Amino acid sequence: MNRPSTDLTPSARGAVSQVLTFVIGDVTYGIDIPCVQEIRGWTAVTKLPQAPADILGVLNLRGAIVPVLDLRLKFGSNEVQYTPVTVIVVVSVMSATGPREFGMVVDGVSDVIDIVPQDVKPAPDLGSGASAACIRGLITVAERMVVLLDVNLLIGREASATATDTDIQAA
Amino acid sequence: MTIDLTQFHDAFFDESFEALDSMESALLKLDAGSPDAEAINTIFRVAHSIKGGAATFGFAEITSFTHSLETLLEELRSKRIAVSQRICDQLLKSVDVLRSMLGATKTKQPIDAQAVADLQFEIELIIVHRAGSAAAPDESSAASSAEPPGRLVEWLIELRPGPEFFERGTDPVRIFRELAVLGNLLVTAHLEALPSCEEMQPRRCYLSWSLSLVSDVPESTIREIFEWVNADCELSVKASGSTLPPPRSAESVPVPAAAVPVAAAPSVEPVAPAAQSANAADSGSIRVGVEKIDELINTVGELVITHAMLGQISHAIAGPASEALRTAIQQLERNMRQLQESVMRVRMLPISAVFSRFPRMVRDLGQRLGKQVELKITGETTELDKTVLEKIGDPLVHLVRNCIDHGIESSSIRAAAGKPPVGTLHMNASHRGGSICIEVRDDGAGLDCDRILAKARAAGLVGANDNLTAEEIHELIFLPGFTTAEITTDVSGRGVGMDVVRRNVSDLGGKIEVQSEPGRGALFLITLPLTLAIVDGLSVAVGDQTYILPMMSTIESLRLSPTQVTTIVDGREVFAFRNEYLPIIRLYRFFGLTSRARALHEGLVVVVEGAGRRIGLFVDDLLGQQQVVIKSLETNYGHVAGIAAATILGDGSVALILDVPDLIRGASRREAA
Amino acid sequence: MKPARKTVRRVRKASQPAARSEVIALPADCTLRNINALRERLCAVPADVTNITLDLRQMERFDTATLQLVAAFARDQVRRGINLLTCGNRPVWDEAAELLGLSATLAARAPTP
Repeated sequence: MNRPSTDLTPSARGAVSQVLTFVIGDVTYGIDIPCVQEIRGWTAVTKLPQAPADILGVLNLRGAIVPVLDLRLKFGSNEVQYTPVTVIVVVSVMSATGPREFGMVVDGVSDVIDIVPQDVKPAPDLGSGASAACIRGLITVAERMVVLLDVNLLIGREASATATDTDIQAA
Repeated sequence: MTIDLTQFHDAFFDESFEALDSMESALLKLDAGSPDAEAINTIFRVAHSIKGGAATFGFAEITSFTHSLETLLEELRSKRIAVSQRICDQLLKSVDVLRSMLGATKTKQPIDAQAVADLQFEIELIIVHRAGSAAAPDESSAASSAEPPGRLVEWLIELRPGPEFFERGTDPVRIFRELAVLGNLLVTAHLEALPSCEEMQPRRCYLSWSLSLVSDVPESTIREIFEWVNADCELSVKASGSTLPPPRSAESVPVPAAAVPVAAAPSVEPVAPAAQSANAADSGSIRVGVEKIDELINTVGELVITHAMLGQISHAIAGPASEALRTAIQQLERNMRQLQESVMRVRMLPISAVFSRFPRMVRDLGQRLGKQVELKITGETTELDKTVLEKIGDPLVHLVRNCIDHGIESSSIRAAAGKPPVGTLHMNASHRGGSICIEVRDDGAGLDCDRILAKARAAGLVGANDNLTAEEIHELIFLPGFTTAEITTDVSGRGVGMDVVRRNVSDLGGKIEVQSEPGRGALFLITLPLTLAIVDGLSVAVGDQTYILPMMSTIESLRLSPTQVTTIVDGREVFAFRNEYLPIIRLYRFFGLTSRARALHEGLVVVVEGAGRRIGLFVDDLLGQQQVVIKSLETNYGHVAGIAAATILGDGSVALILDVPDLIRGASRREAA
Repeated sequence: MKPARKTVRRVRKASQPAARSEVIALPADCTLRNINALRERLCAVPADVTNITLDLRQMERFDTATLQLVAAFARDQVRRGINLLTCGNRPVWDEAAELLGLSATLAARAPTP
């Protein structure tokens, strides 16, 4: 897939913005195109010790070490499979320390749609929870509901376990 | 039309500061009794060039001061005035004054006119009172030998022993060791004639050598070393006839020996380091931005990975071309290693850049604390990576301050103990098998074990009834907040000390150890990796995962028998290793993996050290040794306990590099809990 | 003529043959006197090993002849794709290897992980 422009901030001025949609289970989700770096097929990752359950590990992306997050696990699926058609969407977000890349595992990627910010409805109260927090809003496109996600909130700093927090299991 | 000269100011300031550094360095080495004419010339040229630049830019005060300085130096140069200790002191003060004048002018602050005037007056006084102080006649002008002492020559030595060489009783190692003492030695071994293990007759000598020795000794000294072996070998010794850059450390380049027969023996010409002279124009060096070099190093790092992938693929290929492919890839590995080493050397600078501030500091500190200390520096041409160089300065400063403040005794105490009144501080740097060793050694009182133990007990770091060995007591000084200074002098003893030094050193991927003998002195030994971007790693298998252990932290790997392991309180396992009991960490448990080997005697225990302690890491197997390129985990993810970084293996997969000090600290914390 | 070896233990395959390691402990006397016995020992390594570890801990004396022998051995193993490791940190051995220009050969890094 071609890499889109490097502008990472979604347009919020009423102009049309482009969203990549993908499927997890029965639900269609969408993220802003400018964040998307590439889409890859599934490759094995190296596990990270003491990582949260939805962080599968890290993989080698053209020489950089990139963590991979299974969105399906994050959104509550219990059974996940990794088949040749499983897809990793690699995104880049801006953080305090500079751009960060990570990959998200999804069931499959759908099309790119154009949306207008006025059409985005706020998400109903889905309770607290990390997964609910990253929902930007909802939009209906061609009679399909698409849940728009804020990529910046998908991978949080809970990933950085420091030595003091961890109880190392010695023999 | 007037030319705006301000655009040239920065260059003038930069060059002047550099020039003053070399002036200071020359002054500190100057022996007032027999002054080196070349050094005085250097100092004169520095003053002259700063004066010229200052005059051009209209810096009147600097021009005037350097003019007086130049006049004095001209008198010294022509020997109308003799060099004396006092004159050296005044010249050193001039360096300080000039530095502050340049600094003030650069930042547009006022100059301390009084200080300048005072010193200038002293200098003029010396010039005026020169009567009766004519120097001794010039002895160094006689050029009696074809090679005046101090001129470096590169000698190319070919040694082709006969097959009976070993039987005659001479061991080449001894010969080469003697040569290495004479200067900088680079050895290339030729293995073309060496058969396989099965085919060889092990008592015969199949090796020959090409050596390059850069030294200032006469040819006869070199030939003398080979006197006893002349009959049993072919020997040729000749000068290479090339002019030489300043000497390099002998062990800095391990020359790759030919593993397959090649047409010509590979020889490596070391990259000449930038010369450190006052005149930047004729030094043959180029200023390069650090980013350019880092980019180069990144690219070379990628090459290392790509090469590993090629190697991987070549092993999976069968067929007639596969042997040729494998040979070519091995050749590629040699080329790669050379490229890698060359690129790493680009970032490497001699440690003299750091060592050079110490003569002044030791001198000033000794005076301030009332101690007499002589500083010896050796191995200052040893090179290390620029980043390491920048960060090793502070820990070294702290060590040296410690030695002078606490280690070296006052002259009266020393005399009472039968020691010479002047204490010796020896700083040495060398390359040892892929690492850099920096030693700071003093002949003072050594570590006071009783006081250290008492202090540690008082601070609750050690139980009242615990018995510690001398080594364990020495290690206590590296604990945070530890200090035995009674009065906090403003120099050291503020309690930020040795733990920060150890942390700084381990952040650079190195380690620090201490040895001490009461009454005789102490030695601090810092070991650092040669480069930060690539690490020598031992790959280990834990379950189905591969992890990398830095070789620097690895002591040994062993297979334990069940009887060697003792289980103590709450399930912790320990084993005996060289007179101490070490705890075992089962890495598969730490990483939450399934291990192939459950019983300790089915896998291997790798003894590692860090944070001043040693432990054993239980792994399934050792997979190999290789250089790995360090890739950051924190850029995109974050910090993981026990993991230092990641790397990419030849098959493209990611392997995690273990952080040994972190693992050890975690283990200690769990024990304390 | 030993067949070419496939060295690498492919990580992340479901079932893999276990790595076979062989440890060769060098004796106390590693000089010309003992060199034939040492060569016998090195040649006696079985064909199906993937790693060989040289245990240097008991070595008390060594000379260039031994370094030459070990260099030949190391070179043979690299050609077969076998990893040669050393166990037992002996700086005097490393220093001698460097002086003889044999460090790189003894390091014997097989180009695969």
